[in-house]
Formats: sequence, C-alpha cells, structure tokens
Amino acid sequence: MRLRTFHPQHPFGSINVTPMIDVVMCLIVFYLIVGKLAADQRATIRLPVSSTGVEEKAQETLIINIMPTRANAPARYVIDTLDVSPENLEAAIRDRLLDKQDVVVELRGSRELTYAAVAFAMRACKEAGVESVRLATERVGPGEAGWTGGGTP
Amino acid sequence: MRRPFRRRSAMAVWDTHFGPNMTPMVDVVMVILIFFMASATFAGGEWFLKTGIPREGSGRSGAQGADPLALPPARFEIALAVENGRTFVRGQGVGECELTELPERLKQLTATAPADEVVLIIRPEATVPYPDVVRAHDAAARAGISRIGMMDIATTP
Repeated sequence: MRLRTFHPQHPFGSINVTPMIDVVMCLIVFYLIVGKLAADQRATIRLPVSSTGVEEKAQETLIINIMPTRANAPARYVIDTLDVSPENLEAAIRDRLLDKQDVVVELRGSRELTYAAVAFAMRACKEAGVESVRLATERVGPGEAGWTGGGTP
Repeated sequence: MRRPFRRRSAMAVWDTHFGPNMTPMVDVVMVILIFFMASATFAGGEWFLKTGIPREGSGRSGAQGADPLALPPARFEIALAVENGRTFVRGQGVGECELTELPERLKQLTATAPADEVVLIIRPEATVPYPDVVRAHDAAARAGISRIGMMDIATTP
C-alpha cells in the first residue's frame, strides 16, 4: 500500500475549484433573475385574451398596471411597482413623460375589470397628452378558449 | 499474482484524452441555456393591441397628410352596452347585435368600405367587462381595421 506523498506546500492537496465555480454561477444567475423580476414594472395580472395583436419592442415604455380590488372599490393603478392614487394618476403620467419622446404607454388591465377602470386610466393619459396607448393582452389563437361568447370568461 | 489489466496511472489516462476539456464548457452552456429558457417563459405569451385615444370632436377635422383634397377616413362609432350580463353592440355600419356577432357584422362593413380607410371608435359603457372591450377591439383588428380608437365611457341617457 502506498501512502499519499506529503507535500508541505499543499497541506490539503490541490482544491478543485470547478464545482465551486458552477455552484457560484448558478447562484449568480438565480439572483439575477430574481432581481430582474423584482425590478420589473410588470405586476402579475391576468390579462384579457386576444387573437390579434402586435409584438413589438418599444424603446421606452410607461407601464400602467390596473388591478382589481375588492368588490365595488376603485381599481388600483400601479406604475413602477408604486401604487398611484386615481387623483394623482394624471400627474404621475405627466411626470414620467416629461422631456421624453417616443414613450409608449402600455395599459395592463386585468380581465376582472370593467371598462370604467380602464377608461379612467385612458382619460388620464389623454389629459397628459398621450394620443395612443397599447393594451396588453394574452395571446390566443382564433377560435381558442376565451374568443367566443359575449360574457365574461 | 498478475492482474489481467494493468491499472494505468493518471498521467497515462490523461494522455489518452486529446482535444479541449469539454466539461466546464458544457456546464457553462447549460447554465446559460437555463437562464434564457427561464427568461423566455416570463417574457412570452403576450402582445399588444394598439389603440388611439381620440379627442371629442376631433373626428372629421380636415384631411390627414399633405394632400388637402384627400377625403377624411370613414369614421364609424360603435357603442358597447351590457344588458342582463350580456354585451351588446350598437353602431353605424353594424346595426345592433350581440358581441358574438360583431366579427360577422364587421366583415360585412369592411366588404363595403375598405378596411384601411376605416376608423373605428369603440365607445363602451362603464359597466362593460374589460375583456369584452378587448374582444370588440380584437374583432375589429381581425376584420382588417387598423385604426381603432377607444372613447371615454358612454353615458346612457
């Protein structure tokens, strides 16, 4: 039986760093994703479905999330993960569009809302000088679930 | 006692491999792959409907573009209303029907007027469910109408 040779300059033998780098990289990627999601302007909203739409990336978007609240309460308006009260909405939009050009305003309304809540946001956009918005929808093929029928899905 | 196969030393094993060591590269590529897969699931699955926010009375104000003699686009306005939990459509060009019939009616409309010269204004009531508004917009876009606007809440008399 041969004993391991004793190297006084490497008391633990040489450490293999490859698995450590793997693990550390996984952790880095994990935190990157989590951080990206946390900083994202989008809130988790169940969007209405549509079979048409455009997919385009805009240089700069102003995302207004419109979320339902408890029954008959006014909707919540969330911009940049911050709750904006309805009376401050127009000022908030104006503020964010200040000195900027080609900002696309995106309305992400929940499918549980009535038009009143969305119309309120559109009115605020109109007052702030926005001429067109885009409505975020969930993509669905024609004839798929949610397309036919007049009532709420 | 002789072993049938001689155990090779580490150096000898190393010598049998040639070319670059793929293991770390595969590790890295796999992590990148997972990263892109994860970000794709978060980003995908949605798109946008483009909507104009017309101002009251801006409808027929002059011709657009450089040609002063060009005709203004044909402007149709449809109202959405809710009765007994069902959404109805009422408007020029489409008459009065349920929302489910709107695609058919719009098809008839765009058969008479070219879809690219039509401006469609949707004017929903406050109580109309938002998915129905989107559905009307969707139906219009499917009929080939690209200029769609949404008016503020229609007030019922």
